[in-house]
Amino acid sequence: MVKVTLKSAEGDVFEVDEELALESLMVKNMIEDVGLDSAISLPNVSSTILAKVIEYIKFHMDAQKDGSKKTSEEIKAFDDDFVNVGIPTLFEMVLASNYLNVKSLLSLTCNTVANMIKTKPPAEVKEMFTSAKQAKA
Amino acid sequence: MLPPEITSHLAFLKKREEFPGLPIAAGYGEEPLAPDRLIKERYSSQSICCDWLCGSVLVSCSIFQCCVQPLRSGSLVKTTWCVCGCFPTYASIVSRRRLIEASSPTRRERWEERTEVSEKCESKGHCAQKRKNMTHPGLLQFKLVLAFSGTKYLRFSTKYQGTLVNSFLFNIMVIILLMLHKVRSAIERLPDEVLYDILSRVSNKGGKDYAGYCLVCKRWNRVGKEVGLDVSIDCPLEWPAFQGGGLELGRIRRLSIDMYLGSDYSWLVGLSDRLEEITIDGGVLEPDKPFDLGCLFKCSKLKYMSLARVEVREMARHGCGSTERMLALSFPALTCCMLKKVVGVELQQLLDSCPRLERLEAEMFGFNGLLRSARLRELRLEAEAGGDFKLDFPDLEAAFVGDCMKLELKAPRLKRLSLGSCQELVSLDLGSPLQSLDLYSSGFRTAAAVDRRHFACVRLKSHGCLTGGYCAHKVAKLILVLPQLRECKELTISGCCDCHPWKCSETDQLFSSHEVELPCYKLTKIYIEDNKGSGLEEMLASLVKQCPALRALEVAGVPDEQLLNKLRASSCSILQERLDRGDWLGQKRYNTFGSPAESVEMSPTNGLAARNYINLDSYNDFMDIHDVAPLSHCQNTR
Repeated sequence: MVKVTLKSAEGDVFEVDEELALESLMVKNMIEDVGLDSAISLPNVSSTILAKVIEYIKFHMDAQKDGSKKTSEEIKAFDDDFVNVGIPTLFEMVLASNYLNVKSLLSLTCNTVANMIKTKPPAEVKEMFTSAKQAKA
Repeated sequence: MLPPEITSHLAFLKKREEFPGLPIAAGYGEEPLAPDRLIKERYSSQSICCDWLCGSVLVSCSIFQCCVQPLRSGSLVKTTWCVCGCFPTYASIVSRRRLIEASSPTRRERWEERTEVSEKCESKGHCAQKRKNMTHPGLLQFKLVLAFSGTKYLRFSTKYQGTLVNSFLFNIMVIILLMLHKVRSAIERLPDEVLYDILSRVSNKGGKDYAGYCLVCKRWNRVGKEVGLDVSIDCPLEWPAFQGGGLELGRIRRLSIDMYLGSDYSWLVGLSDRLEEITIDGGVLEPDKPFDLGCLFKCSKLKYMSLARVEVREMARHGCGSTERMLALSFPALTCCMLKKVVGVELQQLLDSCPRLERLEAEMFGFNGLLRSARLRELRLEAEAGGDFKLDFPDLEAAFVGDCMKLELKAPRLKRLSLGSCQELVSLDLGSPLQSLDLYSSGFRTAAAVDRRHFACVRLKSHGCLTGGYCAHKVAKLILVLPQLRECKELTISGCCDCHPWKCSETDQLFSSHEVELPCYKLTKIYIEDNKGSGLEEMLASLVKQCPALRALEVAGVPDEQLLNKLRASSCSILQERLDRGDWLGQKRYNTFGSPAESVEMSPTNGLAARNYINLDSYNDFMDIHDVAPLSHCQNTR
């Protein structure tokens, strides 16, 4: 199995299968441009978020494989748990999925944010996001 | 299994979720704690750092994208960042790639702040050198920034590396942390297009902006204004309120009108290119209330259009535009069009006007003629008065063709076909064997003329005798006599029956006699979707008996012991073995198209395993089936 080396913003190195890496269109384009010899630098994605993205892609790749025993309920439960994070982390995942061009993850995270907005009254929405922004001066 | 380096980062992220104040790694600039919170809660930066660092798996801070500009904020110098501590003990420069921008604050308030900080330092007896630095906090920061110029990331770890307790490093760290306070958060760095994507998923129902996100900040408000509105008028009584409420037609993204009571649709001309979806149900078809498609001429981004019970006006005739304008009218983005009881639409002209149309559902009063499109992938065509259908769709993948007089279908890529009754099946030009074949009312007569290679997966659906359809028991009988069904491997029967179907004398006679050779030698899976009819046990027992290859049987609901006994009494040796072992149900559950979706453990009391769709919908008189001659003009590319 061909491995692809991804380098996070902090310089941490992640070795992943090529099949997994190609799920990101951005990485796919990078591989096509520079090949697999050198590590692919992802300066806009932190290690923790990159780890999350890899976890997401790997789960869904396994779920789509023939012979997978994962039910749609299990996949939904994973997705629900996956986005059950704080607002800052959620937005980082939005940014990362947008940067890496992982459409399914971008859709999932955007939907999650939209649902947070939809299910709360305006005052709560304002407080939720303004506090997450840590009260800019 | 994820690699250890990934799991360690996930563990850190989990830790950070527990302590929201923990700074995030570089480049992402999550604000660890707001400066005003530092003041409000009277925390010193030291204690804050203790909270952040102690017990952390990893703390990474970055000065990437930081600039000194935010340091001009007065809140920064009010923190006691000059205090020494016993941490961190280890620092390393990971990379030195980029130089951050730095500038020394020169504003007057800096000196006032300097005095305050200086006093604090003196009161705590710090060394002169530190006081010196502290008296020029901006200069110190500037120097520190310069010292680390080119440094992209600084990494501090609580891991003990020696006895180095360096207040200098600590100060650096505090400064960096303070700088991170002002680094733009992920929310702020969200590009407008992504923010637009998020906000567009928040429905603006009622024709007004959703106040929730508009209040967050000016940018959210601005982007939110760009998101179209969703207007849904479900009740006729609501219409006057919308009409008088200054509805912003130009901002509408989705428009849905049910039971329209207005005098005409001319006001729709105000819709702009923001419109993506429109649904109109006229309620009652009235000739004096025509709908002018020309009203939507500005809606170049319209993707979905659903019209029901409206009369579409021919613009040229009604003077709403010239013939040229009508011909020029097009919906370049329309991908889905649904027409129900619509008068005045020329389907072929519509197809020509919609170059991207992929799905068309048309329930017309009548239709005759040719339909052709190179892009269409899904078609549902029904004509109340029947008609002659000539269909030519090279990319069509799914088709539902209702009752008609004549049918000529050319669809080499067709995968799923649903057929109603057809008096004359002129030609059926298909490519590969169908993935599924659904037979609806009277469709069995038509099915007799379809090539047997398309019968591998059949779904028979009856509507019950009350609806004028045919009961499942009659359908089941046809299974036994139609030669094509000998190819059937998977069969689904659905539709309730109110006439005690399986005890019907004709069925009993058929099952008890050996006049008809039962053709279900390849049938391996049966799914009964509706377990409502009485006499189900007899039917199932008969089916099982006549299907020697049957491996799985699924009945909706919970089969009772009586049913199981009937099945045990059947002569199917394979199923008998399974019943004796208590595992007579299959091992896989199948989705609509027969691909395995999951493994399930079944027990004799919880249902059946195979889920496969063969749709025998209904058919006329099954005795007539014998009289249907094979289709002489049927063409097959394979």
